[in-house]
Amino acid sequence: MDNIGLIAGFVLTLMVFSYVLGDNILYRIAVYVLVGLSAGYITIVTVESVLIPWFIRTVGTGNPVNTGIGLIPVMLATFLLLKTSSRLGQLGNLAIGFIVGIGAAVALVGAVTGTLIPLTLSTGRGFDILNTFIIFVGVISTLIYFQYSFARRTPNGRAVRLLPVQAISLVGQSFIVVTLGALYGAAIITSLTIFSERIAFLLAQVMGR
Amino acid sequence: MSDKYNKDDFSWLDDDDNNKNQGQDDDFPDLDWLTDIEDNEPKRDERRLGVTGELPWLDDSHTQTEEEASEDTFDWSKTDQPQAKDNRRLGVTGELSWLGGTEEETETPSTPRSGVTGQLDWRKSSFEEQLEAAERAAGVDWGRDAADDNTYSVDDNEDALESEIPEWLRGAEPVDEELASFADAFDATADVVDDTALPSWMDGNMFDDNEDETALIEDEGDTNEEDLVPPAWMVDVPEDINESPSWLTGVTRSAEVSEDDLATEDGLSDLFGDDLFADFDTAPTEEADDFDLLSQLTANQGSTGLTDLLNSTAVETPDPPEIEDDDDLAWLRDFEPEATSPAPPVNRQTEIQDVDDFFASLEDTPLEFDENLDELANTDVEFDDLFKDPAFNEVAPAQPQTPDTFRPEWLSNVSISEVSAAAIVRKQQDRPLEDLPERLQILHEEGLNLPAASNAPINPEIAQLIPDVRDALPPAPVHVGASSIAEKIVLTPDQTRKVGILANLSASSAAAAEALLSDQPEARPARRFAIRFDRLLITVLIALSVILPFFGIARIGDLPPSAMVGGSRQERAFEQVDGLESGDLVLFAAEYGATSAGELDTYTDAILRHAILRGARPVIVSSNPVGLLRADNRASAIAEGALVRNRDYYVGRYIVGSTIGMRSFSQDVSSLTRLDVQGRSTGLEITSLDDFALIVVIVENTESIRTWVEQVAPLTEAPVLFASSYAASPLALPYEAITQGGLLVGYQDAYTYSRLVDEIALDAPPIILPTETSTPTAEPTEEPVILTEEIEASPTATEETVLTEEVTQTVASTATIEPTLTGDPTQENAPAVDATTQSPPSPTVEATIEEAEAPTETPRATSEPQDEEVFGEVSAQQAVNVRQGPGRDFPVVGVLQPGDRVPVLGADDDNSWYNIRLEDGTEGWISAQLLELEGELPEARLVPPSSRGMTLNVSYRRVAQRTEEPEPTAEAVTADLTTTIPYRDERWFGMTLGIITIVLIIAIGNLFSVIQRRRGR
Repeated sequence: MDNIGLIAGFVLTLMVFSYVLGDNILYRIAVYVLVGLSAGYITIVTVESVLIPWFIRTVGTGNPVNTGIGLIPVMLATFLLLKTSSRLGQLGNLAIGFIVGIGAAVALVGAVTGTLIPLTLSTGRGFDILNTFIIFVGVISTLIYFQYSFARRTPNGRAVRLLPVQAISLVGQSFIVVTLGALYGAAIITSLTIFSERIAFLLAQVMGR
Repeated sequence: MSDKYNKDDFSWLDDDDNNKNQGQDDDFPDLDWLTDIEDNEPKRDERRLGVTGELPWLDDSHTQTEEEASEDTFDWSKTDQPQAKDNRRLGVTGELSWLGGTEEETETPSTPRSGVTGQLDWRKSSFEEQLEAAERAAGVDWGRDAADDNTYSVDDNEDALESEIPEWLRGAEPVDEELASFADAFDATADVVDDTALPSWMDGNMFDDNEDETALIEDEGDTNEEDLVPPAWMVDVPEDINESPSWLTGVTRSAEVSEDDLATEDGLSDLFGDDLFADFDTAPTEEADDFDLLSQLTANQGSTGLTDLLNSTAVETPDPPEIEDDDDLAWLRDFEPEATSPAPPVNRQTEIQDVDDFFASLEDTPLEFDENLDELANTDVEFDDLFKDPAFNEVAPAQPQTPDTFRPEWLSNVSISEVSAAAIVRKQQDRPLEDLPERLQILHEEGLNLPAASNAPINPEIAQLIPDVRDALPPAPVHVGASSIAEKIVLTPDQTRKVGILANLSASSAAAAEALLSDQPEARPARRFAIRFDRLLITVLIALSVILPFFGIARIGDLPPSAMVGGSRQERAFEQVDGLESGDLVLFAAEYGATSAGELDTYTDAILRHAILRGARPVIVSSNPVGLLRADNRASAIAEGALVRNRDYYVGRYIVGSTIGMRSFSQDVSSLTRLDVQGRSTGLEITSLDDFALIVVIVENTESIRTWVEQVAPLTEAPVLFASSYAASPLALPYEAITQGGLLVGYQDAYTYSRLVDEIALDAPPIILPTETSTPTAEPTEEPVILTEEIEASPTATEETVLTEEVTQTVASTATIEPTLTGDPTQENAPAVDATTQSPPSPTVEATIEEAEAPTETPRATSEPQDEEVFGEVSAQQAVNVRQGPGRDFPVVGVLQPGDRVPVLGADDDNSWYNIRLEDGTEGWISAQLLELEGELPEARLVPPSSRGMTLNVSYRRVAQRTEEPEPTAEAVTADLTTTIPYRDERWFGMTLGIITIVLIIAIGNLFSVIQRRRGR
């Protein structure tokens, strides 16, 4: 059984690599298998790990209160499914409202307590003066780069900002370029890492190592 | 007789004044626009639209009038109207400012004035002055009496008074008494109103509406026409005045009274003659703007205007004014009958020659006259009725066709020519060709090379269908048969058909159209599978770069360090796991999917093994089901045959809901850890995140990092360790400062970490897990039953191995496990543990022991102390390990930093390892490559390696709800905790060479692109 899995992995890896030759049926089959298996697995996990335990703990207890509580998500989920209906689609807004509203509140609180305040307090702590200065300049200049509100526009629609603002914006733009470049380079290295891992996997299968 | 002219007859004028003072204008709703102008005048709101704002020409004209009057025109009025005028007066009042002001106005310039009365105070003073002069000359005091008692009286010196009668009234016969009364009334009301503010035809109506003509004529008495002397104020009107009364301009234009109306009702025709309007009709400036009248009149001093007409009324010879054919009078075109509204129904059968005719013409007017003037005096004349006349109903507020020069100031900065889309397009001038990017320059060049239009004749059908088609539809610039863009276009059949239709319509000839169509290749579907050789070449190069190091070729660079720098984030992360104690719970989050598994599975494998090596119990969770599956698989592989699920490690449930779900998990950990991913009970009773000794998060993107940092980290005191992919590292590094658990990034850190774990796993004896020999009989209970099980294993394995070499060493390995069970004494299913285990049961352990035996052959003990110590300095650039024996298989007993200087006690037989002594007296071995000796080492200095310890203390504190029976194992098992990264070193070399290749490809590609552009392809 293990060998079957390894062989399947080997074949699927080669099928994905066939994309080098262009979009072809082998590549698509591999992608479809990956997506299909992932979706199927997620569905099973969701049912087994989320839905069934929930119903057991609520509806399964026989307690009317627990039953009511347990059916609330069912009702909201049903409303969401009704979004496909033009007549009853408005009911889905209730569930979406819960999701968006609570999600925004949770994210906001978390951003303040988990990111904003800790990062602010840690800025400059453990860093030398140069690093702290670079961080400060980077943050300020990048924020100014995204400042458009007070830009004056010429009759032909071109935004004109003051010369000092333009200079600071240029610095911020440089920080953004470096950041995006770092992300791009990091993505390439990640791809190489995965590629080398697949090569090692294939060789291990071939060489029996 | 004169008494019948009571001032109340002109109450409408008083009302106007009173209402103005009282702020009531209800009696003159139709004049509200005038009143409003006056009321709002002090505000000087330049942006006000409507009458005021739209008539800035009034200001200009007025100013101009003042200026020029100071020179030669209005000297007489300038003295009376110095500076207090409000130049912005509009309508009747404003337009009269050219006639000068009064002293009262000078004194109280800000006094609100009504539209009619207030501005006419100058007439009061003028009248008074003139009357005084006349009184001195003729002894007449009629004006003063009228002002005193509101009645009108005529002195005996009527002859003198008649001189004050306007010229146009002299024609009235008999006019003696009536004119005197008129003059009295006219002057007496000067305090209140100046009828010059109104068109004269209105005056006529005012006097004649309620008065019987016959009675008037009879009451006029015997006033001698020859005795009539024009009033001095009229005489004093300078002859050179050429400024027409602006009130006339405004009022007449607003009223749009026809020429006939004027001629009939106020006798203008009688006064001026019909030629007046005839001249106007022949004015050459048909395009002139009426609103330029004042300024033009003022500017043109030589022209004659209505002022001349007024002068003509003052002189004795009433010659009809000669109206020059001047543009200044173009405004009077509005009086043309055909251009105005229908006139009021008046009797026009007889031509009006004089006042009698005029009055006679009023007989048929719809207004009813009272039988006597007394009744007339007591009759309320509704001034509004006048404006209810159809002629007024059609009056629209003056909407000046404001030229650009009269644009309000607030609009001065706005120019349609600057902001319109067309203006923007107009301003888009072509840039110089050399300023264009090279791509556009090439495009421009290609455009110039396009073939010129064909000179072939137009299709006759088209020429017949559309005349002058050559100009409208020039032949398309397509050369048939030549190399052109058209040949490169691949058209579909439908497009080809349409092209044929267009070609028949527009091509120069049918043959050309056929040729065009024949040159079109057959439409073929686009190939969906096409090999891009450039892409293939790049891929092959990168693949070769990655694969070659696997075969020992092109291994460039060094491997990642085998140790972590002290104090670094990597070391902090490692120490967090390494500091775990047996039984500690570790929350392990595998937040990555299938695409990142190739990179992050390394971390999952290494950290799980490390934690298990320390006896900790990982609890695996994830918000990504695939990540949960990957971690589950790795844990199962590690625990294969040795670890028990839901006892030694746990695979929790899938955390749904992203951010919200993570927050819920943080606040209710137990609900997600009570059951595993398969729905089975884990036996864990975790109340909060603080129950975890460490939180490990393996992440593939920054979103997961932020979610855990924001939703989990603030709610626990447990350190959080992040292991990130390369892709997420730029944004993960800032969080390293606020997560005390450390941060691992990419394959490099994973490589180092895995090597360290391997060292620990190899150095440590195989974990001998307790096996249960009896089947628990306890039934699952609903209420949790807490079992505390402490097992202490202290193996002291003793193993004898007889070597065939000179050195014979006995290695004894005796494992003694003394389980201590505390808990519910009723439990009879307490696991029994085999106290003795014979190792090695697995090939791994065997290999370990074999390798461990090897060093025992070479080291030789030297018991004699050396007189002189030889020191060595750590030459490595990073921290190095000090091991218990001369080999990497020996455990680490210490760490030396770069530059550390330690005494060297000896070396092995091939001098590849040195025996050193640390500061604390501990002896150890270090690789000779990492230490630089400061002298020669005696050959006899050989230190026997320390015996390897084979002690493992395993302590479990299990809090479990046994809902199922543990699977008993009859034999002792061991776990292979060495990492399983195939081709670990080769992968690193492959990555290094791959990066170099990619950089070279990018550089060469850019260079090639630059060269290609410079050559213009």
